[in-house]
Amino acid sequence: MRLRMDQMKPFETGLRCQDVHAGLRGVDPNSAPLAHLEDTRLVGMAASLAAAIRGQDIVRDAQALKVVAADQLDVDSLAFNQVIELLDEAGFVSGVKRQGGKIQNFTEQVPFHQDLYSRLGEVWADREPTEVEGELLHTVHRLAAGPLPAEELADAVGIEPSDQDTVLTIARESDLVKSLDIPDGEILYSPFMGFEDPGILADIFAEHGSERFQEELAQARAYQGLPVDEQRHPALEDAIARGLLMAPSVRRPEGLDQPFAFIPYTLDRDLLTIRKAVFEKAMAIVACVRCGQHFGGATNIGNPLWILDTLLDPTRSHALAPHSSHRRQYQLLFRMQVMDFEPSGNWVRPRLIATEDNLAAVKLARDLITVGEPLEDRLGDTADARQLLLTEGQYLTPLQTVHRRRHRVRLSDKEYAKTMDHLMGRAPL
Amino acid sequence: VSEQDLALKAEVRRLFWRLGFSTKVDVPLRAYVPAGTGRKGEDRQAYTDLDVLGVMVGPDLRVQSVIGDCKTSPRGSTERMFWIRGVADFFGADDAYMVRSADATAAARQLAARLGVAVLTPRDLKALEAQDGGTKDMETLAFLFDHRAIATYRQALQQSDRRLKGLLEYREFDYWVYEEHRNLLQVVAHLAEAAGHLDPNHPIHVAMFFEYAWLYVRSLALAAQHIRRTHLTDLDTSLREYLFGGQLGLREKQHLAQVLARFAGRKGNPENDVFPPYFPQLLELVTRLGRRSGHLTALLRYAEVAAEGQVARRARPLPDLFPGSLDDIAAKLLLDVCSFLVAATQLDPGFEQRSRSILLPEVPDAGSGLGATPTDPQQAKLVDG
Repeated sequence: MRLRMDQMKPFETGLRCQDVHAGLRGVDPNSAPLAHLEDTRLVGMAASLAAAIRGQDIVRDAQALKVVAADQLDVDSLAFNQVIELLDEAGFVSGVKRQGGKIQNFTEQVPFHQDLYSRLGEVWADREPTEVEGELLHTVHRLAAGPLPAEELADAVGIEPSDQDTVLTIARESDLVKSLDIPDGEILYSPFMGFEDPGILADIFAEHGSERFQEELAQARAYQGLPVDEQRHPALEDAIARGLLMAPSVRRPEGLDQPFAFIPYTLDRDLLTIRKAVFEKAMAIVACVRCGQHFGGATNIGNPLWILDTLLDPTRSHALAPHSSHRRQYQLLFRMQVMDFEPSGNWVRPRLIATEDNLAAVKLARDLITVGEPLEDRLGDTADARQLLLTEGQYLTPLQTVHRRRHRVRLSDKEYAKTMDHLMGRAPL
Repeated sequence: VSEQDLALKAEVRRLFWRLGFSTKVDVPLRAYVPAGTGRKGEDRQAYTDLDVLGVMVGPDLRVQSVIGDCKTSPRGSTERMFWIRGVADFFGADDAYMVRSADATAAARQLAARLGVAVLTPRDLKALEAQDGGTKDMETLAFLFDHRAIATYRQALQQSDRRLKGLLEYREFDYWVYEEHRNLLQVVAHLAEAAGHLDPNHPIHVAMFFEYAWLYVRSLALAAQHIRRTHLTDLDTSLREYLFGGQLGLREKQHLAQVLARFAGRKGNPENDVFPPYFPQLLELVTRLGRRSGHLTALLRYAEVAAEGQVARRARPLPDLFPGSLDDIAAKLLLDVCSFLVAATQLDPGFEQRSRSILLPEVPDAGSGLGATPTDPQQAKLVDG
């Protein structure tokens, strides 16, 4: 194997195991490719199950959990015992009681703050997975960074050219890799990458060349909400203009509309479909704080996470301190009704309108800034599983009720503020 | 302490327990004083002691306390009311009782409402107990309310190994007068210092371990309460600040670490060195307990029973001591605290095994109806369904 093991950290390994598990959800469990991926699938299932049981303390009826896990998380019921043993090995559960070979109950210690995926990545490595598993995981990880011409895969990932066909066959059959034929060959991309229209990829590759586009994509992937500059990011600028990438704009102090690029990578397809409004709000939030970071006006934001933590904090009324730039900087969020402006002299004090969607959007924005992709509730249905398990843990009601703002009212900022004042009863009668 | 006084304390303890508190009998309060100025040249001096202390954690994580002053002598009950008010204020108690085995003066009763100190005589105590239906576990827990068992327990701890003197003194005195934020580190430090002398097969050592678990649960609840008030969404930062009494204290320690690192010729950023190596696990523990505020009083009560049961020859598993009413989530969380203490202090792993055998010998099955949590009926429904 030519894989350079330092290419992936244990955290990334654990994360990509879950990607593989998620990708295999639509694949017949008896299909041949899955036989190559035993350890990876087990670790992926363990990651999903660990996230679902976190905070439960005691799982009194493991057989009921088995049913829920199979139904909601695609944890194969035949592999359930192995998954629990793996979690025990990782130190995430203990006191596993069995009766007649069936797990009856256990206690849970899944960490809230320490890294779940790093530990699972270590467990994956300890299990001495097959070479194909390693190569597949590296392929999935590489494509999480952006599309790649098929001919460059072996070099980029470091797998044996002779293994490439096997790895790609498994990946394609398992729906972990998608491809697009172009005149110069084939482009590989991840189905988890939420391109608006993957067909446009071919045009971008042809126009700017694979290397240039990948370099710029990598920048945006590593720094979600990258302020796009026409000179420095011509390929990204083009991809945004053609509608391949999402890029909300925020007005800079000098009056220019600045686009901020996002490369969505998510296992939760709902985030790109029925929960897209939440994702759009999260992107808008990141764009606004990035604007404050790079084009703050009077003062730049030091750490955008402080802003997001304040917005999430009920003890601070989900509100930021007043600032001269806030009305301009958060206008996008005001118009999307993510934030409200409370008057404070000549300035405004932005306050998060703490609906479930908005809180979910801020949390998602936090993940986008810190990790580059959603981490909390990665598969989107963990909350449903939690509800079924009826824990005391915080349960976010499904976000399917999100209303999509397809037909936006086109009003000037001033008109909009005035309308809101009247609607919210803040205007004199 | 006279046997009569202790019998009265035992009765008050039973009352507090019935009211839902976890309890401590005889909590002395003392201060460090300039060297040589204390009695017999000691560097510490006693203020007073709390005869009976009750502690409870509310659903909002507020740690509430109640104190009971017990005297068999009827003299001076009027003046004593003012004294009790002062002690309650000093300790930050939410409620206070003056308990007399004979009647209290009429003036003391008049003062009760003004000072917020309840007056109880044996007749009042009986009336209060009659009002309360009591808990069905009182029979299996009789050793907690027997003054002879209380005396035996206290004596057993005091007469333990001389090498455990520091451990005993901190539990008995210093914990109560240290600034609270220090105790999250101090409990661990004292237990770690004595780790080499503690034997998981020695009942008194196990009792001492559970005493420390009790103290730690109280300190964790206070930390969680602070975090809830200050910075709920950033537990990490909030806990780091709390450990050093606030941002200023934290910065002071970090500056100190920088100076020290410079003198020691160490490279790298020493700022994180101010935090204990077990900080990540501590953060997990505070988070886990903070989510389960409704169970925290039960943690304290279980630690109390587990400690005193060792000496009272009632070292039975909790399900036997709380038949039909065990809160298994609380038992599991207390086990988490015990496991943390064992790991952080490098105690003999036998303490963790011993804790598990007492607290959670077997996770009850879903159909047993154990674990009276608000979600249990729903849980049972899931299982039945």
